Formats: sequence, C-alpha cells, structure tokens
Amino acid sequence: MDRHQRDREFEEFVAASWPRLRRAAYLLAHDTHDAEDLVQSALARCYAGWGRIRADSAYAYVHRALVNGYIDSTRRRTPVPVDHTTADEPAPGSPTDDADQRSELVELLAPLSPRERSIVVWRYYLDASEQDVAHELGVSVGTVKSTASRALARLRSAHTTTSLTSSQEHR
Amino acid sequence: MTQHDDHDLALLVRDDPVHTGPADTARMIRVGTRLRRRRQVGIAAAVGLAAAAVVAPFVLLGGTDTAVDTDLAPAGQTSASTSEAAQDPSTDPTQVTPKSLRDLSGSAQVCGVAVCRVSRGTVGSVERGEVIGTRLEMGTFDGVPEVLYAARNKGFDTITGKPKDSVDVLSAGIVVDGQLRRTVWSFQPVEEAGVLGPVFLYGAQRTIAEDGTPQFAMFGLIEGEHQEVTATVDGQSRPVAGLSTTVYPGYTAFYDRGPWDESWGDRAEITYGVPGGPSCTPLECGMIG
Repeated sequence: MDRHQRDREFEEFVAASWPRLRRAAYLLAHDTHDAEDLVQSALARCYAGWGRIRADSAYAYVHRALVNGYIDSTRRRTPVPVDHTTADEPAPGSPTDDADQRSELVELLAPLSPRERSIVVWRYYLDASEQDVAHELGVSVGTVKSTASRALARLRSAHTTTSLTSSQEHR
Repeated sequence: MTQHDDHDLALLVRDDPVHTGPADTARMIRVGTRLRRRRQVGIAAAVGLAAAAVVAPFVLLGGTDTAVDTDLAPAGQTSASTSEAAQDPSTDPTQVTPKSLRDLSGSAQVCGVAVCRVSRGTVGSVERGEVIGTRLEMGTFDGVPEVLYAARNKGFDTITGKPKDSVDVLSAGIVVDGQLRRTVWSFQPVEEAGVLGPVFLYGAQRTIAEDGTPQFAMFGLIEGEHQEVTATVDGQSRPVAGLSTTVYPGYTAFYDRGPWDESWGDRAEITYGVPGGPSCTPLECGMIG
C-alpha cells in the first residue's frame, strides 16, 4: 500500500471515528487538553501501525490505545507537551470549549477512579463486551458489572439529593 | 448489574453529545510517521545485531568473504529482510532506507528545552494557575524566554480522577509579551510520592536545536533542596545546565541540554542525581510526551 492510499484510508477512519472517540477521551480525562492529547496519541499510534491494523480492526485497536493511554497517564502523570493551542487560544466559553459539554454521563463518571471510569466508558460508551473489558483491564466480569452499577447508584442518589434540595428551596 | 442499569446507561450514552470540534489529522500523521520511523530504526538495529551475531563467529574463525558480503552489510545498510526499510524512498517518502533513517519530513521539530516550534507557530496554553515559586529561566526559544515554574491549579486531580481544591504542578512554558504560556504540564510530585520519585525526569529525546544540530534537552525535579545536581555520562559527571530550589518548594528543579550522541537509543543515556543521593536515568524515570 502506498503512502497516499494509507493516508486516505486513515483520514476516512479518523473522520468516521473522531466525534465519538474524542468525546470518549473527554469522558475519561474530564479535561479538554488531556482529552485532546489522549486521542491524538492513540490515533497517531494507530497510523504508525496502519499497515497491519487496517480499518477492520482499527476501532478495537484505537479504543484499547485510548483507554490504556488514559490509565498510564493517571499512573505516572505523563508530562503532556502542549501542541494543541495557539496564541489565538479561545477564551473559556468559546465554541471550542463548548465542544466538551457537561452531561449526565460526565457527572456520572466524575467521582469514579480512573479504573472505574475506564470500565464504564469502554463497556458502555465504546460498546465493548464485558468479557473484553475484563480481559483487557485484568479484572473480573463481576467487577465490570458492579462498577457500572455502583456508579449509577451514586448518580441516582445525587439526583435524589438535588431534587430534594431544590424542592425544599421552592417551599 | 441489572437490566435496568444497562438500560439507564444506554440512555445516558444515547443522550450524551458527541464532540463537534475538528480533528487535526495532519498532526496525527506527522506524529504517527515519526513513531513508525522509530520502530523501523529499532527493527534495523535488531536485524543488524542479529546479523552481527551470526557473522561474527565466521569472521573470527576466518569465514568466507561471501558470508561477510551477504550477511554483514556495511554500516548504513541493512539486511534485505528488513521489509519496509529496504524499499526505495523515492517511491514512498514514508519508507526509509538505512541511509535515511533520520527524520526526512523536512518539518523536524526545533526544540528548546521543552517547547518545540511546529508549523502552527507559537504554542502553549495561557497559564491560569497561580505561580507558587520563582521562574527558572532556561534560555530563550524563538526569541522569547523559556521558563520552568510551578503553578497551583484548581479543579480535577487527574491522578485520582476526583475534584480537588488545588494541585501544584511543575510545568514548563514560554513568556510571550509578558504572558506566561504553558508548554508542558509535568509533575505533581507531592501526589506521586511513594509511586514515583524522588527523581522526576521529563524529555531527553533527540531534538533539533535552533542551529540545526541534534541535541537533547530535559528537565526534572528531585525531592529536597540540593545545591548540586549532576549529569553523568560514561562515568563522567558534570553539573546540570541550571537548577533552583525556589521553583517548587521542597524540591530542586533543574534542566539540562547538550549535543545528542547518535549511539543513544530513544532517549539520552544520562544519569541525573545528587552526589551521594538519589539518581535516575530518563529511561527509568523519564517520560516522553
């Protein structure tokens, strides 16, 4: 495969996978810059091995690279070279910042440890099987199930508390 | 995990907004190409070593000339089995021959200690944290001061994933028009004590200096306040290029730079440490971003 064909295939893959992949990175890192670095790094690795990865297995590869990159970064506080903003960096609240919107899922993941967050994002957002997630992260299938369950319980509890508080404030 | 839980999570995922920002595919390809070349260099080196291991006994035992000609290629060449590395680069600029194992992209990053000049010009995020110590000047890059500093940032602790009032992080940056711009978010040593340290190193990979020569540059932290930090190569020690005990209270921050030795692997094979105290090499403690 020549370079042009490889680049074209890769560009098509990035175009198709980017929105969800970039969001997954934000769900993991909860930080715009870290998310950008994580996903750029995972995709760069993917490009480096494109000859053997190819489009059919690229999703699984890049998902694994993304989650592993995130876990590594939390283990070792990987220094992050900032190569993603320019002198014209947008101010907070600009459209670029808005691209990483808060959501219920972000709230759900916020209090979780990096490993728990990885489990939920990989299993539910990136749609991997419980067995695959358990295998890749070296945990039991039961842990994958219970992690998501605990996170949901916490979210429901927070919602209940918020609802109660707001209803009391309205009285 | 119940079906109810599964359903709830599916709804949360469905309602979650997808990212709408653009992808920098050109950067991915640039970085990916560099990674690819590094791997090829590694393969070529491994093949070279393997070939040498096979041929050396022949040479030592007076083996035939043919064996030497076919298996032990002259320096700068490699075995035909090195797949992509043996192809003609004129047909594919990303493929490398042994003569072109260095970066051929023509866009090699020119680096200071931490900041690199890339096609987009000035880099760095405006530092919004509170600088807690002094700034250690590491020289100038692209005409602006490059500094090492520590800043107190508020928000999430990305080590634990939990919200935190503040985290103190050693960072590198540049000063543009009086504004501090962070180029590398580096160590949060207090949080990492017991996991990493007492020596923290960053960088030490091969870069190109502004005068076009290959160099290494790195910075680090060592627990405690020390008057001397040394760099040791092949048993020869020298002081690092600069250090300060007031950048990050309780730690000694330092930086170093020098010419790149082409016999090194991915990172400068230098040991940094305090005389009579802890020491570490970038391979053990360093991280390449």
